[in-house]
Amino acid sequence: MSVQIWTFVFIFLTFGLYIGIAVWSRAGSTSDFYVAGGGVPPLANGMATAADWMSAASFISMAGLISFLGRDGTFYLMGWTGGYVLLALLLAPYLRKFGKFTVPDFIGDRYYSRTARLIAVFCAISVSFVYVCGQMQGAGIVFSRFLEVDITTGVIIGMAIVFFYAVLGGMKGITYTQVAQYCVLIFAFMVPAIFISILMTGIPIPQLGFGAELTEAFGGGYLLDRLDAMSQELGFTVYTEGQRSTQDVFFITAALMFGTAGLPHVIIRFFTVPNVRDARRSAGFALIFIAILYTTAPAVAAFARTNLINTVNNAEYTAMPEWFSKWETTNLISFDDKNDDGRIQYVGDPEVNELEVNRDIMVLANPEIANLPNWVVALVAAGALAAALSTAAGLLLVISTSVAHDFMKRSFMPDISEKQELLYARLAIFIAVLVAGYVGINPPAYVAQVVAYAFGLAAASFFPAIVLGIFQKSMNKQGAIAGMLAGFLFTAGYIIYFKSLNPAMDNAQDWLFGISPEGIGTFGTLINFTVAWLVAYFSPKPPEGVQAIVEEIRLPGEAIQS
Amino acid sequence: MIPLITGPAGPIREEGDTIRLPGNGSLQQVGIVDTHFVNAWEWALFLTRCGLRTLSTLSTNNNNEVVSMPDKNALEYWKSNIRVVLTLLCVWFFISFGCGILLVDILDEIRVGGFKLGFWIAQQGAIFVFVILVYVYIYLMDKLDDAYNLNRDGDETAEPEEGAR
Repeated sequence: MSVQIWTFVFIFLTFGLYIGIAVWSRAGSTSDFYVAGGGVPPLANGMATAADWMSAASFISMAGLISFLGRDGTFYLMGWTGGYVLLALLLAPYLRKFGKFTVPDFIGDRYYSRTARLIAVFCAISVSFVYVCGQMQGAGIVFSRFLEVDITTGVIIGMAIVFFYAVLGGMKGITYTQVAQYCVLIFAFMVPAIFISILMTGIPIPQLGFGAELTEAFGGGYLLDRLDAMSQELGFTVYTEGQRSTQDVFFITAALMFGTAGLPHVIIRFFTVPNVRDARRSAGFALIFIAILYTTAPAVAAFARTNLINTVNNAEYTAMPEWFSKWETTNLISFDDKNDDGRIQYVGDPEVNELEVNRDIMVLANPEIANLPNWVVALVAAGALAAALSTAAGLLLVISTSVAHDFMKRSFMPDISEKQELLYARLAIFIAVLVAGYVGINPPAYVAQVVAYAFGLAAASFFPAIVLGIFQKSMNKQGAIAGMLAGFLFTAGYIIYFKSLNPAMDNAQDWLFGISPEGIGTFGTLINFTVAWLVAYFSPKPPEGVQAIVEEIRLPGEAIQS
Repeated sequence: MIPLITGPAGPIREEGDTIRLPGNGSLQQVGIVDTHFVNAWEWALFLTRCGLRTLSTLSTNNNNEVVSMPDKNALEYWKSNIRVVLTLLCVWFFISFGCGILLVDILDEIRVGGFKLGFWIAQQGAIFVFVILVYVYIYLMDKLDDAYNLNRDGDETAEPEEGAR
C-alpha cells in the first residue's frame, strides 16, 4: 500500500476514535465544560497534560530545529521540560487548592480587582492565540504533504475536527480525547526512532543509540563524532558545539521555562484533578510522559541530520528518492543547481550551497530518508496531527473560557445562567477556530519559533503574578497589575519591534544585551517582578480577607469552593 | 474541624454581631455581612460553607474583620514546605543553567562513551534529573502532609468506597 493510502487509514481510524470519545464524554454543566467536573484521575490527567503540552512544535518542529542548531537546540529541550519542575513545585498544588476554573479567575480573585482579571483575560487570549497559530500551521504542513491536498483544505479539515469535539465535550471531551492523542503521538514518535536507532547503531533504545557507535554500513565510529566530523568537513557548525552566546542561550532557556509555568492551557489542567495530592502526582506523570519524547528528540535530531547529509550530499539530483521530489512540490525543500553539475552540493557556505531544507520537515521526512516501511511514514503523519490537534483544542478551550467565564460572567454579565454561559463558551470556540484557521493558512514563521514567542509572553505576564500571589502575602492589586502590564508590554514590544517593525536590526549586535526576541521573555519576567515589588511597597496592603485566603491555599486540603 | 472563633471581646456568637467575611469564596464580596449566628457551631458551619476550612485559628480584629491567625503548626508546615521547594530548585538550577549552559564547555572536556558530558547533560541528562526532582518533591510533600496530618480529604480512605459502588 502506498504512503497516501496508509495515511488515510490511520487518519480515518484516529479521527474516528477522537470523535467517538467526544460523543461518549459530552459536557453537561459548566463545571464539566471548564474543568471536567474536577474528577479526572492523575494518570489520565498526566497523559492529557502531556498531549496538551506537546504540540506540533514538540512533535514536528523541535527535533528538526535541533538537528540544524546542534547543541544550541538545548534551550528547547531543557526549557520545555525544566518549566515543569517550576509548575509542579511552585504552582500546581496551590492553584488546585484555590479551586477555580481559569487563570484569570485566580488573578482576579487573588488581586480582588476586575482590572487585574481583565488584564489576565487579555494576556490569556493573546498567549493562547499566538500558540494556536503554530498548531494550525503544523497541521497544515502535515495535510499538504501526506494527503496531498493544498494547505488551505488541510487546515479546514483540522479545524472542523477540533471544533467538533471541543464544542461538544469541552474540557471533559478534550481531556479524554487527549489521553488517546497522547498514545497515538508517542507511539508515532517512538516507532520510527526505534527503527532508525536499530538501523544505524544496532541499539533499540534511541536514548542510548544517540551515544553509541554506528554500524559498519554507516561507517562505524561514535554517531556524534561522525556527525561533528561531517559538519566540519562541509563547513557547517560543529554539531556538539554552541554558536549562540551563552547569555542568549541562558535567557531563551529561562524564558521557555517561566513560560511553561505560566501557560494558561497547561495550568488549567491541574484544576481537573480531585485534590492537591493528585495535582502533585499528575504533574509527575505528565513530566514522565513528556520526558519520553523529549529525551528521544535529540537522538532523532542527530540521526536525521546524519542521514540527510549522507543521502543528499554530492548525490545526483535525478537519482533522488521519491520523498525528495514530493517535498519539493510543497516548496519545503528547494534545490538550485548553481554550478550546473547535476549533483547536490549541501554545504555550509551560502555561495556554494544548493539545497534549502525547511526545518519543520525533518521529523516527517526522517522515516522516508531512512527508507522505513510506508506504514511507519503514515503513522508519523497521524502522530503529528494528534500533537497539533490536542494542543489546539486545549488552547481553544482557554480562549473560550476566558471569553465566556472571565469576561462575560465574572466581569460584565454576572446574571447569565449556566446554559447561556455554555452557549457563549461554544460561540467563542467557533470564532477562535475561524481566526486560527485563517492564520494557519497564512503562517508567519517556523512553528517552534512562533510558539517560542507565546512562551515569552506567558513568562512575562502570568508567571510572576501567580508566584507572587501564592508566596508573597502582601502583594496587592496595584503591584500585580503594574507588573503584568510592564512585563507584557515590554516583551510584546520587543518582539514586534524586531520581527515586524525593524527586521533589519534583528541580529546579535543590535539586540538588547545580546538577547534575541525568543529570550526576551526572561527579561520581561524580571521587569514584572521588580515593578510589582516596587509598586506594592508604596501602596496599601491587600485586605485581611485576601491574606487569609493566601494562607489557606498554602495548606493542602479541600479546595476553596463556593 | 471547627475553627475556633474569638473576637476582641471574646467569642462572637451574640445575636446581631456584624462581621466582615471574605465572602462566598469570592473575594470581591468583602463587605459587612449582616448575618446572625445563634452559636459558635452555626458560625463554624457558615464558615465551612464559605470555604474557609483551615488549620488556622480564625479570629476577628478591632474592626470585626475576620482574620486568620495561623497556628504554630501551619506556620511550621509552610516553612518546611518552602525549605523542600528551595532545596529542589537549587538542584534544578545547578543542573540546567549551571551544568547545561554555564559550565557546558568545561564539562565537554570529559567524555562518557560516545558523549561529551556537557552536551549530554544539556540534551538528555537534565531532563532525567527534572523527572527525579518532581518525584522527590512528591515523596517529601506526602511525608510532610502526613507528619502534619494534613491529608484531611482522606483520599486514601474515601476512594475505595467510591470504587466499590
